[in-house]
Amino acid sequence: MTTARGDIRTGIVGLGNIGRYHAERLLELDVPLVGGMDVAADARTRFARRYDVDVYDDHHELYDAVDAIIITTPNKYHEEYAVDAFDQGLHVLLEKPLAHSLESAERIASAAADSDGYCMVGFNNRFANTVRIVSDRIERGELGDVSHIEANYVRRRGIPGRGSWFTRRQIAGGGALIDLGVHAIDLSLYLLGDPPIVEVTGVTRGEFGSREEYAYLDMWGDDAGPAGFDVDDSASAFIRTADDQTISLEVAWATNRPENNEFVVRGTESAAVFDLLDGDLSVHSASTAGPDHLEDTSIETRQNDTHTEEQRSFFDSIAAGEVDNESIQQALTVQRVIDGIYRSSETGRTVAIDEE
Amino acid sequence: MARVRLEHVTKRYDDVVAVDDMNVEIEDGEFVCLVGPSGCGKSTTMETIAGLTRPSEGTVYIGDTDVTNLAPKDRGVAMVFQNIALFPHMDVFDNVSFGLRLRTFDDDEVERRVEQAADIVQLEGMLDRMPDEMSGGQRQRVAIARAIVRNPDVFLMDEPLANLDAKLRVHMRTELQRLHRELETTIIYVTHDQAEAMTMSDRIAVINAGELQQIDPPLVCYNEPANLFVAGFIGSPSMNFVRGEVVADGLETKNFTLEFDPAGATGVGVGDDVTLGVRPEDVHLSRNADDLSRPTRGIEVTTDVLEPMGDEIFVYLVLDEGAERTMEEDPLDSPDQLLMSVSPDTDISEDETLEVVLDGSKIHLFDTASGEALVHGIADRSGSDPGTAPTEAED
Repeated sequence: MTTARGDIRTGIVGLGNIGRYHAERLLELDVPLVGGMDVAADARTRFARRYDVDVYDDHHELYDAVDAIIITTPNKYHEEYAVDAFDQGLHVLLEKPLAHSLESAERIASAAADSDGYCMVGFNNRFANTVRIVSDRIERGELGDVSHIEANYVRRRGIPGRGSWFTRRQIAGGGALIDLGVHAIDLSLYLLGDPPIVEVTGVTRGEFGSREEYAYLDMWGDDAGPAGFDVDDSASAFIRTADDQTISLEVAWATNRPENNEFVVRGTESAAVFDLLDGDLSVHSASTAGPDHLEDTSIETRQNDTHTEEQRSFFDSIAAGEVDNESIQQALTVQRVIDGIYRSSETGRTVAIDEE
Repeated sequence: MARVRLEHVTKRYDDVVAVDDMNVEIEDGEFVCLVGPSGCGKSTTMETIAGLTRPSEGTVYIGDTDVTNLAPKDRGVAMVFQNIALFPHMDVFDNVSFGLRLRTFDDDEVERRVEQAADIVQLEGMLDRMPDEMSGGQRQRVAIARAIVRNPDVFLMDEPLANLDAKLRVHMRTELQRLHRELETTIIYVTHDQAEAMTMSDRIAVINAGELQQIDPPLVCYNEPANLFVAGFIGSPSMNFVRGEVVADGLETKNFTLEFDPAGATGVGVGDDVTLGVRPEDVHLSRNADDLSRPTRGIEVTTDVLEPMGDEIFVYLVLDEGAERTMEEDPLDSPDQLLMSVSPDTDISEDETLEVVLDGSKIHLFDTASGEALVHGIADRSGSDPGTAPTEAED
């Protein structure tokens, strides 16, 4: 049975900055925002005033009034809100990462598999125009066999508020790797065609957030100093797939190098290089037509709002009844990779990823 | 209850074939274990039945319904996994009843089903407990109760006891057998533990490298293995393997000769390169072999290491004194050694030279190149009972 996007009554769980960001896009897409839930009274008040909707401190009350929810809470609380939504057959757009731990992620995935509700995990970068161009070119065989991706998501000084949930392991499940690495890993696996992962090796570091004299220009949120910081602020990793495709990963909230969010997708026929920060995209190849030569092509496109496109995809899938469990299974693979990198860093060894 | 049928199921990840042209038919109410080493494709096979993985090729039937493209929740299956995935924020009642309300049961029916399931797995009085207040065994019972309340046609269990300690695992094995008897539901159970498979199942499906090797009752797999892989995988300690060549009057190996009439053993011909297989309990001291109906000629050996296990002693036997005394990692390539199991009261010591015989009725011959079983049980020239050719393994 199909329905219209405008008939899907939607609520938001977690009414902070990201919750409001999603609310704005719901309005753009004419999806009915019918309510919100947050445990913080001031967040509820602000949300109710701005969007003129009912707000709740108990998610069960919100769930009785909606068909779909968007979960934007801290990572640790994803499970409770998502599982209860699946128990009621609601559709869920779940902000990344899937969960704060692999065990929690597996439970969420099993609940989703047992529910009528559709779940999409919020990997919005997949919807960037540059990514769509590269993905289509891979699909058409223009890059040949893609064998390696250099995946970077590196900030120079960009630790989220020290002392906020982002920098507390118990709530976030990790630092830069789980916050930024989750995007870079997902995008790489997406471009490789979601292959099975064989093993990962990696190192995570906490070199800046734990310093008293941490120098920065801007910080999202307040700075409680090093006492509020017990996670990683950078990670380097190497990921190998069953077909020996590889990903080298660099992520950082803070490091002494210029920031970038650059991906180098290396194929046997050509390579695509794009940076999500500025939308730059170029393609590099070589040819024997005439004298041997190298070819570098710059591609220009419009930058788009990836969160709007992500929401559009989520609601249109529900409206068309075209729902499956691919998104959550792929997010589970990403979570396995993240968990493997943390374990590799702890043990100093390569970690096998068992997807069986 | 329902029959489960896989027809030509293949699951491919790019160049990796996880499941290769699998054809299996599991009868209504049967308890079938899928066994094999890590990465053999047994869990992927089960995931295709569950609907967690869509096969690259082939069809999955549950009952008479083609479920290949159905979502997991629409297949009439219930799953129990190795990781006891109880939701930590829900009490036992809510964990067990998860998903039931979506199936349009009213509150009274949900309560009735949960209480009935709790009764079956002996969790009465614990429905308001939180998962972190329970032991590992109790949590696994909750997971099983969650499967029971769905009243599924098929239970799918993927190493459900793997994370429990050894004692509890043995106890839960019995519980699962009791559960199967009580519910009479089809159970498909994945394990890498062949002892678990031997003790619980009606039939064992042995899988290696994505291919079904044999599906038969446990004792058939044990006594009449379809090939070298099954022979080596089922049974602990593993079967002895000795390579040899069939000659006019028997089998010649590097260190001993067995006399039998190849013409009397179907499928075996002079000149064939074969591998002899014999289980440790079918190697006997000559002096204790009076009761054997078909003992082979005596083989002179020297005892090496003894391993007293309490109820039996494992004796490592050296066939060639000149050979280096190391246990080879590959049992298919250890021509100079045999493992024998004897009763604990046997008078035996290390570095003793003695004579052993093999129980001819328990000797297996395999084609060395293909690994396929050629014959189970051979008759010594002095005997009268020819070996039996293996029945064709179900494909």
